Amino acid sequence: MRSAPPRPDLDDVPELRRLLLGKRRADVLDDLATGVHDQDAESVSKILPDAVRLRANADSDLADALSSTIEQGLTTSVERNPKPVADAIFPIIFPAIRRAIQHALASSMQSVNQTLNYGFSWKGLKWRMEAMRTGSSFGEVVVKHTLRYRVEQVLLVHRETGLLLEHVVAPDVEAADADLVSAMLTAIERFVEDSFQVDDDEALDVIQMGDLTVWVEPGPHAVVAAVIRGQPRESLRESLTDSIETVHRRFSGALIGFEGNTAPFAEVRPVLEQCLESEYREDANKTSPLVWLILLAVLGGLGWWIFTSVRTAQRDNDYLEALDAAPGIEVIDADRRGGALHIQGLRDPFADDPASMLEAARLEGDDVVGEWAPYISIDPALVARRVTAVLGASETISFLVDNAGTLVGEGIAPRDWIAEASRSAPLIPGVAGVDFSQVRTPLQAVRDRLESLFVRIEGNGFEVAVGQEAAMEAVASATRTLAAESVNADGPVVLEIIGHTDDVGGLRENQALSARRAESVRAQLPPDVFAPGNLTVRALGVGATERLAEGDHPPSRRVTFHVVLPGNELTTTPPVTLAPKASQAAQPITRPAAREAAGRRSPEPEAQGGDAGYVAQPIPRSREIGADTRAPVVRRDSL
Amino acid sequence: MIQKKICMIGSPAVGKTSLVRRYVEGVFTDEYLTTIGVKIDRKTLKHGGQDVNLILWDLAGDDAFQPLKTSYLRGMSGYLLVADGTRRSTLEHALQLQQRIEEAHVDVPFVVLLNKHDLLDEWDIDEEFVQALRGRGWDIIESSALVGFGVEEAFAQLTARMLTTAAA
Repeated sequence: MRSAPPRPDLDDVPELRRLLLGKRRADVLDDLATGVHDQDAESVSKILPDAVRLRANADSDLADALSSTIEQGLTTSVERNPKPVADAIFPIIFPAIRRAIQHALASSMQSVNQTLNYGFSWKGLKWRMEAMRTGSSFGEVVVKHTLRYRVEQVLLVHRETGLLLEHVVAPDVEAADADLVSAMLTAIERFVEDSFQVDDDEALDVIQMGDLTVWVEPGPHAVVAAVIRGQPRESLRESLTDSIETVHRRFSGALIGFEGNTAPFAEVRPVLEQCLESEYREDANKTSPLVWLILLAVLGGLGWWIFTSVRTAQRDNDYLEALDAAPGIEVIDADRRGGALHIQGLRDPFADDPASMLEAARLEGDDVVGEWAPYISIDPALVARRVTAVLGASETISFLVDNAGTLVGEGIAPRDWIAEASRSAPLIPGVAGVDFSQVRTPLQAVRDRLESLFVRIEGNGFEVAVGQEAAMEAVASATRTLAAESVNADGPVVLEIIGHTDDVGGLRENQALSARRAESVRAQLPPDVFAPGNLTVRALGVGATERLAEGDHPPSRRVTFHVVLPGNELTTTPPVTLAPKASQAAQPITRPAAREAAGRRSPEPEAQGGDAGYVAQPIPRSREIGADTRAPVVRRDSL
Repeated sequence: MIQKKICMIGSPAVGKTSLVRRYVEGVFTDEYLTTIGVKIDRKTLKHGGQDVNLILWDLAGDDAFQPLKTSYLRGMSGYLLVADGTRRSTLEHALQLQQRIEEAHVDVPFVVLLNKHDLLDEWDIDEEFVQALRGRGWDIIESSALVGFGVEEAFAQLTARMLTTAAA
């Protein structure tokens, strides 16, 4: 078994070296072993730029080696403080962004302008026909006619293989398979080279067919081919030259060593895109009057739309307010859609027709779609209408419902009707009580009429005073009605013609004089006014017992009338209140408002002796047949 | 994307155009063959997980009236040498063509297609000759444009050879 040789002691190595090489050489070796000296850094710095340049020209290894370090350095710098990097690239980035935005804006404005310009004109119509005839789009036809030229497609073709390295196409252009076009272009070039005698350094320059031109700009390893529609400017040739030069400058390595991998050439796109030029005829950029007209029409339309919207909203509002104000109509929801105002709500069948309110709001019938669910409103106005509908309308009677729901009737109605209405009215929805105390039968009405009349007597005599013809005519007319109505009475109707005197003179004289005055009036009434009928006429005198005015005596010289009706004609039905407690509290109920609204007849100053208020209780008539207790008081009447 | 230019070369009427018609996509009509002597098509296939775009230059058959335009061969990465198996002369012509290409210092892979293999009764090529060629390291594939075999294989084979050459 072999043992391992003993390891040399490392501390002895420098000593050994000194012995073998001598001191000077050993020092140099030490320097090399310990690394680069300061002096070496200085010498490397002198040759480094040249070394970098040399290596960069030879191959791309140096770039590969440095790329990750540069990337890392940039990342670190941006992380630490992005400003210096941003400042450095600003002069490059900002103009590029500005150009891109300007380009995008300009092209979109141009296309809008063109569409407007040619969309509606005679020329536009012609082009539209052409588009239909040729099967191309309208846009294509417009472009064809307004374009001076446009580069539709730019191809970068590898010269040797004819393979497509990269290509760009203008927006909205349908390009054929560029790979095959590229190869065919190369084939054509070779065909021309082979078929015709051309010099070696000459290359395919232009292919032209009708409106279409292909400009080819050759470089040593690649060609740029621009497919152009229209007549290009010569300046385009410069752009193509620039781009093929740029491509060769930047991609020379990739072009020379091209083995079919086209990926590195993706970066060439911006260079090719610069060649996608286009130029329109000048008139294509002029804004046509039609554009202004359309703009004006649009603005006008907008104004009209705003005006009509506001007006419609105002009218809708007016209508809804009118509906709100109408009794028996409750709007729950209103919404304008599809050109109509849709209203949902409740409507009492007796409420006003919502359609009748349209005109006031200046709306048409088809402006509004109403969905009305029926309901019963207890609004007094609606209750009054319902009552009128149920009980039957009549010219001689009117109804009013107060806020408490009490139905107040006023006017003249047959006795049977009053009885029936008093029974059925409380059953009508919304009626909380019934007050027919102001409803009179025709007999009561004529009684009241007659009792309001009087006839003046001339001086101290008994003749009807001069100028009382109208009063006498009124008395005659009322009496005739009384006689006619008395036929319907259940018992005898008595008309008392009552003479009066002033209090001057003795009782007896006055009594006699008053009786004579009454008799005188009766005699002056035409006899036919008392017939036909169930009427008894009595003339009587009461002297000065019912002096009609204090002070002046002459006013008492007159004849008044009193009608005595049979018992069942004396009262109308008592008020009915449906809630019992309320009915107790409501006695008597004063309803000045109801009275005012009903427009009661104004009482004669001497007839009722002032306003005693509205009393819901039936008021017994003070005079009834057989109950007239007033005995004639005989006084001395001054004759 | 890898792109390669390949050519289809052979005597007239050996079935070059028929061979590829069913397997390629193109935009140009056959008229180009008679006018400028070439028709361009494309054949896309996958090799080793990557897409390969073969730009196929279908050259008009080489004869006295329309000699092969050698300028069309420039830049090709490979070619299909097509012969008609029922006409031995076409194979001999193909060998001449290969010779011409080699003499022009174009050293690219190629695959020989013996077409019309569906007409075995009329087969005019003896196996020894084929074996001798194979002995030179040539890829020789029997194909039938009519029945439809051998074509995909030929494209795949040629692509494999081209990419191997490129990588080497």
